[in-house]
Amino acid sequence: MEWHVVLIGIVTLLSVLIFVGLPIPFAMAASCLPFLWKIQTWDTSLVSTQLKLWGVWVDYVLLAVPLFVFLGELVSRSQIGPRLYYVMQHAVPLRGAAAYGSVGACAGFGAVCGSSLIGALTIGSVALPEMLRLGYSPRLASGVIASGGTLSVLIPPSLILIFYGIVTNASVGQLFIAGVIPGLFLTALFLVVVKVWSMIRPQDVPADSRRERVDLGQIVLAFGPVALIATIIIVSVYFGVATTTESAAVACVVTIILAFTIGRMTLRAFLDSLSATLRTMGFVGLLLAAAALFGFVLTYYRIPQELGAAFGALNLPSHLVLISIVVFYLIVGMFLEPASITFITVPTVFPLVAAAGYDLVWFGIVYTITMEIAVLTPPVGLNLYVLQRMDRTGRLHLIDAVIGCIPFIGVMLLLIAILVAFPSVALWLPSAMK
Amino acid sequence: MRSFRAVAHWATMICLVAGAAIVLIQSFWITYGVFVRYALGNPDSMVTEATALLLVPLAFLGLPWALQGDAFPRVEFLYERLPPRAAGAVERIHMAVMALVGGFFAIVAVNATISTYRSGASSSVLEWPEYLFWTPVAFAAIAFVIGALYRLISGERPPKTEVSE
Repeated sequence: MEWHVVLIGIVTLLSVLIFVGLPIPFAMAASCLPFLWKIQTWDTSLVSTQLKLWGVWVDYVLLAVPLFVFLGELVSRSQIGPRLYYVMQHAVPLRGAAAYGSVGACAGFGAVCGSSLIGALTIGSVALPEMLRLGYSPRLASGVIASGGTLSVLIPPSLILIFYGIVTNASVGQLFIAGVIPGLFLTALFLVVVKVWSMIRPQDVPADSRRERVDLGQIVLAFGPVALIATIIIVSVYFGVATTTESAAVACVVTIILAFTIGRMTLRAFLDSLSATLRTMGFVGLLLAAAALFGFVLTYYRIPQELGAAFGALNLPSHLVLISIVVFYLIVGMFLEPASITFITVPTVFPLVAAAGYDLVWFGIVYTITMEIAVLTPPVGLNLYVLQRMDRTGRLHLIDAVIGCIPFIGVMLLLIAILVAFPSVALWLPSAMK
Repeated sequence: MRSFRAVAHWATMICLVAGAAIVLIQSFWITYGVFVRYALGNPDSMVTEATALLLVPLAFLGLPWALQGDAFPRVEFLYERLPPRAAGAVERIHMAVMALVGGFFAIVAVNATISTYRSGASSSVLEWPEYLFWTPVAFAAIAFVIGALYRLISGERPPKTEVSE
């Protein structure tokens, strides 16, 4: 079979199965298995799948995934996140303190959690009702929280960066460090959006945010755990003290201690953290297994190489290649969620990026920003639906959340432009790594 | 039907407990490994390979639990527009495909358990038998197929839960 026939066949089958609502890991497996059996006999396919699964999963780097998921679940079920939001909100002496506080709390939470959904859920569950109660417009409130949640996947640790590193063989440690400055920069841009919003539409931001006095003890209790966990992860990776996986494990143990001592975690919440971790692993486990088979079929037919050669023959300027790829991800991101996009598309796309002369660590950051946009764009914007479900007042409509996110998506695109113009924004810190 | 459901439920719970135990073992063992490396200057020679091997069962033990919580991400905006009867029929087709895919992985895992047991295949450094790690994978995949078949026959769909990304 010709490579383009296989490509059209597998993409068509995958698209049909995904759009009829079959869960994505199963759609991936079901779309590649017929092609696998075309290449191999049944008995051979059993053995080759066994070898693929063993090869994929006996991987110390990949071990960081369940550990970072567990870490995020632990933090989200303790009082660490809500306490951070409370202090951020009341410590900001500005009109719109709750909105600024939400962005700050999301960024702080992002430094201990690698999932955008958990970020939006944890901070949003406290901040959204509070902001709506204070009289913030539903559009601003939802935009701030849905977009703020995405900071969790750019500021390390980040599950998307781990998945990207596994697929492209880029160093996860370098990817994490590369995400620090763009993550902080994006946080600043989000704060600017809130400021500009409050100037253009002052009616959306209440004058009285009912600030309460926060004492030093509250500040230490709010920032201490986050600072400690973030330091363990970022500093140990930056200085080569521990691997990414080791930093994740140590952060988990420290978080368990902090959550039970000062985070008011209950045994029930702890067990819920474990079961939620297993639920996520159920999805990720099968997704990676399916991706291994999918990748095998694509590689057998040399599809990434042929596609790269065909793309190269067009002689497109490298910036046009990059723009095409970013637009592609913005469109795909409207329909699929980030983990699936990573395992379905990145194995084919990253050789094109490398051939166009872009650094894979730098592209990992650009890619992650497009995935942040993906969770904010309908019809499949995970953070939008999570927020809508969180609202108990009935005041927040999906369309408000979508409109509220537009300025934040605008600054994410601006950040991509800045990264293209000044790649060192992402690459300076990893290049200085010990 | 009730006993079918009970079997699916208890198999899922066994997987959940085993998976949760592995996450805790990995967290504490790796932390201990870092501690002894720096504090005692005596690196634990087992931790890296042992915890990586434990990832194989962990990757699949959550599978039946994710099914029970309907936690697999899917694109639903077309599916949600279907009338209830058509949606029910489509859901059964989904379950049939999921059971078939799960069945394939279950056969792979059972086959791997048997073949690695017979061949005595073991890990590269610790020489731990591979079948010990394939057995829970096979159990989890079979538990998943039982759960999917139950839902295929009963037409039950539990409330959706979210997963981290």
